[in-house]
Amino acid sequence: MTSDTLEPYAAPTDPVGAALRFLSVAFAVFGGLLLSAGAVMTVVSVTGRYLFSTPIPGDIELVELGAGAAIAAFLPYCQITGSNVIVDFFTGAMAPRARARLDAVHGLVFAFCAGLVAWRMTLGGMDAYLNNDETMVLGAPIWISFVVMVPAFGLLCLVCLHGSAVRVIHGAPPPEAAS
Amino acid sequence: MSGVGLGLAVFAGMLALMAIRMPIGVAMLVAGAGGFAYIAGWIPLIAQLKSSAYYLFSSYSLTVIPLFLLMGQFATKSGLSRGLFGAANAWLGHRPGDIAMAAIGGCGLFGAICGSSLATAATMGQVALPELKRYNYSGALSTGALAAGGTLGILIPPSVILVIYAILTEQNIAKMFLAAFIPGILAALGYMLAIAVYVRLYPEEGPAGPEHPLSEKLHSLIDIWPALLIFVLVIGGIYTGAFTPTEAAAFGAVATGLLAAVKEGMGWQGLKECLLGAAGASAMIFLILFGAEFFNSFLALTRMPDTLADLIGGSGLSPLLVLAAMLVLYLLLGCVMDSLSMILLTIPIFFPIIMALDFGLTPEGTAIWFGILALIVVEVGLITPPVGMNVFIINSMARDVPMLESFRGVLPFLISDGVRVVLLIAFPPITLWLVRFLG
Repeated sequence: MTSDTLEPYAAPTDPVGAALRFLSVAFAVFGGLLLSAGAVMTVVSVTGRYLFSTPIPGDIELVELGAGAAIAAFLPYCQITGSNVIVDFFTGAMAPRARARLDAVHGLVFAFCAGLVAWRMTLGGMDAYLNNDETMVLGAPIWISFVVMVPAFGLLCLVCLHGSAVRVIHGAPPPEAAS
Repeated sequence: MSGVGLGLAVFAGMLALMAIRMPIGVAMLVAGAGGFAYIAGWIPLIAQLKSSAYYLFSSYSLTVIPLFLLMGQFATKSGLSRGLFGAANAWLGHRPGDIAMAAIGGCGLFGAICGSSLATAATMGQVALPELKRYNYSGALSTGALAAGGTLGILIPPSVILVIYAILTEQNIAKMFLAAFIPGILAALGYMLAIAVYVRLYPEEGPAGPEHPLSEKLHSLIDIWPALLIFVLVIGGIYTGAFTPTEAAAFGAVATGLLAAVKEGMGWQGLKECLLGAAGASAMIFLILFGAEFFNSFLALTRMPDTLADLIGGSGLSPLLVLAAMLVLYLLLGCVMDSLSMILLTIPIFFPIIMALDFGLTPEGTAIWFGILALIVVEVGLITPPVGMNVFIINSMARDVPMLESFRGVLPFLISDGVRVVLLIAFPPITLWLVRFLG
């Protein structure tokens, strides 16, 4: 489904990059496990609903809370592997160094957006905590999703900043080892 | 500045940002949020940011997307692709071009449990390319057939893009999936016909494979029943209303995951790869959805979509002409952009226009019909130069085939696509019949 994607950078050799990569993978795997757990729980609930007329109460809410956290946790991984979609058509003929500079600028813009969302969601999560915002059936506090989403957006911000720094320092991202 | 003027200006600015490599989702976010703040002020924007990501990411109707992607990832590791290709090969066997036809058939069957074009092309490529090579099929025909076959992954339900179209336009997902069914089968048959004609013209490019005895044909069916069962469970469940789409996708993900674990011995490493694959693809889609949310609320404030719809609806232009212009625009955009971004960018503007025109169909019929047409045309972008992702991915797997050969090999399938689109436009019942019959 992707057209062109950002030129990825290889498993970073600098310690900061390596740490960010490790964290991004950890967040993505954690989100994936959360999503899988939601799937298994849904299957159990639906089976219970049809066979024993006993669904898991609030199964939809749990999937929502989990999916919200999972999707946010996926974002840094997508960025650090260069999987976000870009249009490469008009800049294909540019020198790699010029392209890297453009990508560095966009990285800063993206970092600003992610940082802004992280900051605002910190306040949003605190509002939800103070107002005791709860899901309807289970009364589960919705701030627990924010506890995952805020660090995920924070990590995304750092990944973008690091990506821009790498592109400015090295001129061009080294090609990723063939996978 | 008038609403339409502002809308067009911001739209142009956003396209300019995309043209200089800004990630598409970020460009939509920046343009949309900027335009929104220009009209409504910064305070509402800043307030909205407190919770908009939470409400979007945890929206129940959207949870079907990461689950379908996870299901597709597991399906690629389930070993089903081998069996599906084998069965298609056994039943289609012993005529010129049969192995390329089997690749198409395998893609169609795999598309029934996988909602993504790239995954379908790549998975079937791994199985079919060695066979095609073994029987001396030309590089052009081999890679062309697989790249085109990959597009069946998204046309035959489940389909991630149809889910997003249904949510954007408030259509019933079950009916969209039903409507895609016959056009999807037509696509597979049309591709096989294209191969039959092609090998008649160039017999040396696609010789006939071996004959398969009846026992082998019957035996091959054993390998495809898990895929059929999962398809019936997922799509049947959605259609009969037994499951919500999210529940069906959860069943699909668990079933394909179990299959991969039991049949192929997928362990922690394989699971991790699947989770990361689904994570990357989901994040890519949701970043664009996040940007589109801001861009669409900005567009709604400018009233540009409604104004344009009134303008074109009242202009007396032939509805078919307007439709054709939109589809041509999709083909052009498809040369540089991916299908999801195209749908998210254009549907908020195109959909009200289409609904304001009279095609002699019910409003629901028009919405479904247009969705299927748009889906087919944006998918053509995956196999046309200069940016044809399906062709790239298959070509990278067949290293001895030059890229130009692959794009040449895609040509017969493009002709088949063109004929099918014209048929679907001329005869809307092809798309809508099943919806009416079962709906």
